[in-house]
Amino acid sequence: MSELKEYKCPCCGGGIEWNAKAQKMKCPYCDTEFEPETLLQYDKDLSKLEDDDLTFENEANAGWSEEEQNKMNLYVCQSCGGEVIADNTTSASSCPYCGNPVIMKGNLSGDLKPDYVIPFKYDKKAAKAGYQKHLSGKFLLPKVFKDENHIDEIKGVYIPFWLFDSDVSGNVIFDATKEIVHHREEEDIIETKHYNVIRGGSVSFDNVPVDGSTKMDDALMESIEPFEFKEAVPFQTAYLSGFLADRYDVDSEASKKRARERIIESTISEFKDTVTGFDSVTTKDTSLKFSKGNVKYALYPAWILNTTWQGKKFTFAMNGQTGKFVGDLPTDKTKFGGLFGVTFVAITIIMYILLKLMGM
Amino acid sequence: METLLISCAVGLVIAFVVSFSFRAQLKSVHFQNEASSYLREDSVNVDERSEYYTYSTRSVRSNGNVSGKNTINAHGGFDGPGGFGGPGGPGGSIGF
Ligand SMILES: [Zn+2]
Ligand SMILES: [Zn+2]
Repeated sequence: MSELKEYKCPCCGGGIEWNAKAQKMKCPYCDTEFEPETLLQYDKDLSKLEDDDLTFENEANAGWSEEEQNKMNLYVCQSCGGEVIADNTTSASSCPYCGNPVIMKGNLSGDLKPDYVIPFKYDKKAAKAGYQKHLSGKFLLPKVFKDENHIDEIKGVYIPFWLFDSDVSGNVIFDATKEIVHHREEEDIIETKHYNVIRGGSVSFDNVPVDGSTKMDDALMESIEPFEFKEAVPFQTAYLSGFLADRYDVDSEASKKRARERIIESTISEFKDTVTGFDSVTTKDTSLKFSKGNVKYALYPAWILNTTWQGKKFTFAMNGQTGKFVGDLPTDKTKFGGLFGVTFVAITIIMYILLKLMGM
Repeated sequence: METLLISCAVGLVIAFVVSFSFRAQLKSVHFQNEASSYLREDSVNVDERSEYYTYSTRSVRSNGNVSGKNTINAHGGFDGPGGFGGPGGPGGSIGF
């Protein structure tokens, strides 16, 4: 039986051995026994899966023309190293990431020019209103934080995004269980039946965005999603007037890993939705193949506000297309302690009275 | 005394839930796990569907306590109904 020595136990992952006494395949770690045919079937499922593969072709990789370069200035922040682009009519004075002064550094020779841009739909006034609304109705927010805000420094920034298209095809194996409870005289016997559930098919994704700037927090940028690519237009320098644009410093090659992770998760979840009639469904194995990959470079609009409060930096962002406003806020520790204490004492007293009334 | 302890425990749990749910209002920055907003319309095509029974675990529950004894029996084959309570080996322990 040496050809079977590589089987892994579907129950615990341990290596399975042939048990001569039971005349069955048996896992020495968890004692689960299997008919050899079950394992052969499992082996067949695994071997037909293909290796992951993801290649993307750049749709366009044009650089800036000389005329465009002359209209653009590159600024660099002396403090955090952030680089922003602004056209001649817009002067950048402070860094959108840290608020420190920026200085003009040169031009954009060698950079890729964006293929698309989603123009701003929300103006500065709307961004300020969004910030006020974000702060309202939050009980544990320190009152002083509201009073000390530097709301005028909110900046409209075009963020560089790599947009990935891909078709995904392949298989996902799920471990699904059904629970059966057998009632006996003094005890219940719970039997959990495990099934291997295989789903195969294909899914397509368009314009999965990955932020191409290391200075811009990735979680913050994913929090203001989604962006509607339908409203994107071919890039023209005129859209930059009055706004800053962040310069990309992560190339599409380095960004595709993140797009791929999200695409895989979504594909598994689409396949999982078709697995019904079980008490639990967990992903056991996946093998997905990417094809027809394509990448575009686009600028997406965001309003960014940085504030420092009690030595800690807080960054807020509003989606300039949808108005979605995000940003973590500080907790008032005194209020938090008070809320906890009051709730604890009140509930304890109420519970005590209730239990006494019930005769305990 | 027991009544007071139970009341305190319930108070503690509820105080945790209440204060942390208020604190959760202050958090709005999270990574997205999926890319479902960018799924192409009508592109989901799941044409291969199969399932088969692999193994069972059993546990015994009496008076609300779980004692971890399980017996295993497995049949191969597609959509096998699976057996229950067959002659398994000495049980390992699988909790809930
Ligand atoms: Zn095992
Ligand atoms: Zn800076």
